Amino acid sequence: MLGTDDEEVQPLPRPAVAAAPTAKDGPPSRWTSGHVPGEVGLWIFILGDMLVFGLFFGIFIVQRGDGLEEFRAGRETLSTEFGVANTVLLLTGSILVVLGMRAVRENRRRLASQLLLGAMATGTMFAIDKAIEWGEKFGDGLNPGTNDFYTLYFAFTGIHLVHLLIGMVALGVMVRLTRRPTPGEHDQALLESGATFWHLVDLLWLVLFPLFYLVA
Amino acid sequence: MSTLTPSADAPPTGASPPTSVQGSFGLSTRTQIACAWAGIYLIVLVVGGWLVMTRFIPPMGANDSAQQIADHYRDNTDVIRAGLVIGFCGWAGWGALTAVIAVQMNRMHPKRPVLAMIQLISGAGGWIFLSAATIILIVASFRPERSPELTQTLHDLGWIMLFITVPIFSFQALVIGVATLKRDVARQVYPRWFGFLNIWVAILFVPALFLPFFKTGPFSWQGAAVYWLAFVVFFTWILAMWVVIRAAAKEELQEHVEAAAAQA
Amino acid sequence: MQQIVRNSRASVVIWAALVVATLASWWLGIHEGGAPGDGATVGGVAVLVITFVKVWFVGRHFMDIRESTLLLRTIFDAYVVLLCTALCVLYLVTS
Repeated sequence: MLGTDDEEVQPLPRPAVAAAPTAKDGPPSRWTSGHVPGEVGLWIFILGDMLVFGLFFGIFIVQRGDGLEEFRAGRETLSTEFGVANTVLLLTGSILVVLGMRAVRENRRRLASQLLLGAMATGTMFAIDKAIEWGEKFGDGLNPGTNDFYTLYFAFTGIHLVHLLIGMVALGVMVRLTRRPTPGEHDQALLESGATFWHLVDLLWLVLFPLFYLVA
Repeated sequence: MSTLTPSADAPPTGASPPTSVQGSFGLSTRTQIACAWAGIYLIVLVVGGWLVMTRFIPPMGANDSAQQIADHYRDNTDVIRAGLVIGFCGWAGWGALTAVIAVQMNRMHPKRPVLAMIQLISGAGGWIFLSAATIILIVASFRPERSPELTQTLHDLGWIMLFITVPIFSFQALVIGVATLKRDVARQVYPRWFGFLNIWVAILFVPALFLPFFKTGPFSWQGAAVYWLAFVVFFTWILAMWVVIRAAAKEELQEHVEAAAAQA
Repeated sequence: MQQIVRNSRASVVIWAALVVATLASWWLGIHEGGAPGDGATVGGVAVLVITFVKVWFVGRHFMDIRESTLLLRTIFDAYVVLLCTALCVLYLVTS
């Protein structure tokens, strides 16, 4: 029933007595005028997730302080090439989604779906890359119980991987939407929400990568 | 669940001001709002009793020795017992909150409230473990003079039970989130931001599942990603419920006032 | 396709810059942040700052926060600045 924020549906006209004076009824505030990608509620989730990852980053640096030597040694066992490759993959996935969204806006839906499929391909390669990397670590006898560095490494990159997989599902839904012959009324908001989430996956990795592979 | 239609003997609407919860068409609006307040009651009693009085904030570590755990129970026996009993009374509020969430979810799909049912069952199931964990800690405080290893075992059981049940609560939050974000509903009962908040809650409970593997660090039960995250998220979730339930109950009443006015 | 790229030229340029910045932080990490035993280094802080500049660009240009409400822009900017500062301080204090 509710679409994006600026078309908030009120099923019945409300009597004046009931209308509590809220911000919505006043003149548009300069703080809230403008377009919010996806829908307003989505940002509760996006910003909430960013906040929690912020906590994770802090945990990482504090724990690193308690075991500088351990973290340095741990970092040197990671293959920076894999990390760099994954960063470039996600950045590329992001730009493909940006271009895809542009194609949607210009109503070139076939091209849009191809670009989004391209982004899914970068996501798949990221997951394969991660699987190989984890496999190597396990093969070397390194696991989450080895020490604090590997605990955080597997936990945080694992939680990020879950985000990536959710993002892949979102991209899949987006591809289907762009292939529909007639766009539904909520398609634009859904596409923007999916794109925003995919960029979040990129954004979080942009911080995880240097923490584990570079500054540890 | 009953379908929520205005009862035939509802008072004429012109008489009562629409903002009032009087003459509530059999909607139990006041009761629903009271149930929302049960969440605030829960937070106050659980924080005050279960966490502060017992000095479980910050918590004992999973790496503490049996002797340290036993000493904690022996040195503060009666305060811990009282704190846990008060906390237990606080957890009782969870039932009311779960029920009223389900009652409002029922309005989304009045004919087949499947998601509302799942939510209700998950909340009730999880409630058992909140209670059981508290009972186990009360048992731990019951004979502080027993061998420290036994106290430690009970303490472990209580704390692990409290946090390891997160999949149930995660699932409950996920179901509320999905139901709220679905487009094919009879009514948009809860605001969409509440749906996204529930998805966020569902994800943030997950790190607690790492706790069996660690005695120290952020993923041990005393760690930032388990104890602190789980409690902060849980209380945030309850506060959000408190906001949306009251709004939904009032809106429901309003809807009936308007329907009756339109008929008249 | 070319037309799409042309119409999003700013985003493509930013993408290229982000890839270059990634390679640059790799280089810094190898050549300075990783010097054994010396704890806090300029390199480490530089890597963190580069990281959050990248984050800011991804948020503003890819997530379209740039064209969004002032409220969202303020929250996002505050997040980037505060988190980056906090992590740099923590990094220097704990090294």
